[in-house]
Amino acid sequence: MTGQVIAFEGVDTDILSMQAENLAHLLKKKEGRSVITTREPTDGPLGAQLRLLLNGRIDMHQYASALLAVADRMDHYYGVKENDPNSILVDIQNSKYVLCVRYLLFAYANYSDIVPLEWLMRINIFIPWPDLVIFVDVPIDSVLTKIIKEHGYNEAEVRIKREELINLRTHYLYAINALRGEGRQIEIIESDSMDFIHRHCVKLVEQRLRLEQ
Amino acid sequence: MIPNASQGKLIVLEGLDGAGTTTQARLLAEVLRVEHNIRVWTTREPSEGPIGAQIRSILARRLSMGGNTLAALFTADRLDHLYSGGGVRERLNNGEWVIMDRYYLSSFAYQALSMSEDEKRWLFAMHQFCIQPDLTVFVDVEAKTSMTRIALNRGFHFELFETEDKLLAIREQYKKAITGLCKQGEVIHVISGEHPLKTVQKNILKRVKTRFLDGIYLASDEEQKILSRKEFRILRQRVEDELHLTFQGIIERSPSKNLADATQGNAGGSYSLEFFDENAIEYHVAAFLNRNRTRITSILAQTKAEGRERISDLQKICDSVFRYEYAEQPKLLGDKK
Repeated sequence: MTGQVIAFEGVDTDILSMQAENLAHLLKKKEGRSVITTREPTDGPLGAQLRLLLNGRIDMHQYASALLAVADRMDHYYGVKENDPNSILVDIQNSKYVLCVRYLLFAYANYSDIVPLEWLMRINIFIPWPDLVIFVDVPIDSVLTKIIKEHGYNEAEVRIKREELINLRTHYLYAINALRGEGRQIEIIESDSMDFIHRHCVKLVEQRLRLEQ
Repeated sequence: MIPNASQGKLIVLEGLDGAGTTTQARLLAEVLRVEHNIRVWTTREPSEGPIGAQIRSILARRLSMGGNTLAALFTADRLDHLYSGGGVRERLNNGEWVIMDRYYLSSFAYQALSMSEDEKRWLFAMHQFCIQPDLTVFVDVEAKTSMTRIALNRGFHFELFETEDKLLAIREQYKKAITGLCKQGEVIHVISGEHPLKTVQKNILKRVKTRFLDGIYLASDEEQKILSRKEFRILRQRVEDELHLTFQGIIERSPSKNLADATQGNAGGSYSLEFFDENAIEYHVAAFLNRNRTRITSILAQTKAEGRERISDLQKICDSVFRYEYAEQPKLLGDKK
């Protein structure tokens, strides 16, 4: 039995992380298999640079940042040497579930309006498409309410944040549409209820990955 | 790769570590600035940007990274270097000439060394948006020379790719990559870097001048003209009409000969210039013009002295020059029998 990769995608990473943790807990309990939760950009040296880029701390041309993201993903998937125990590849070989908060779909969503999709697909060719990709589509207003509660944004900041979230969601939907056209499977869960999303995730895992009840 | 449509020229110096490309880039820039009044920017890879800094740590073995990850990083750094503000593209668009110490040929030699064919295709695909150099000069040194120079310069601090066996393989990979890129239309000249620094400098300068300056840069004391591509095509057509030949024909007749050296009457010191494409023909025509520069200049001067209308129409220059040449010296091209 080989391991499987499940990618959680969406506009809010906190929601995605929570869903990944909940699913990880359930999979461990039900199957007794090891589950790894991880994220992209990674916590490695290249991921750190990508985070600075996403936060606007460093400036980089979009072609370059698209490739930096590829490098971070290659590092994540293959590690620094053959049979690297810290790589997704070895985790899969060791029959583990790998739950990743943002992965390939985020890369396409983030860049597909500024660089050609065909090029993005070619440069990511050595990263296998995950066994299950779930786009968690929480209404933007619900996400904003949560963020305002956490960060106490003022009105202007909320406006900017709303615009950012709407843009990202639009890019996600564009990428989903384009990638489905290329034969990639992507599941969408639309809800603002965390319980509903979790139950739906479990159902998808059961259906798609044949988890035993 | 994207052809460089800017007014500025992109010149790349490549070679194994220790080939002297950094020194030669500096020397070339000085000559172009001082003697030809050209605005020149010299730069290098890995760049001084944030990704370049990480690559330097990897090369110095301070940070571990997989081979393909490093290849993607090098390409990311390259694209950032090209397209970020104040980078290569912006300078080329402003008419500056850019001399780069290493470029993508390095990736096709160093990173491709241990890659499968699929991985090499991936590497190539990542470079889709790179600007194609107008001229690449590969300064060729033996692996042994490379090792000796590295040891001398850095006191035995060797980087990731610096063992003699690896350098030997990389040199071979360079040659394969050069052949492949030339077939796709790139202009790459291989010169020996085993000679003293000044000889290598002279050989690089000769390639640069022939490609950009002497061949398509007509000058008298008071008049200077750099030919546009369109003007150049007229010249080429004129040469072909007057001499009843085509440059393609010549090239195909002696593909193994060093045509540029033959036409310029060089004794050697460099080798392996190969012609595959339109750019090579342009180079060849440029070499022809270079050899006849004195006559072109004298005709421009004579025309002016006789008080005739100033020559503004290039076609007139071509007519004068090539009729003159044809009558005076029928065997214009050294390798034409």
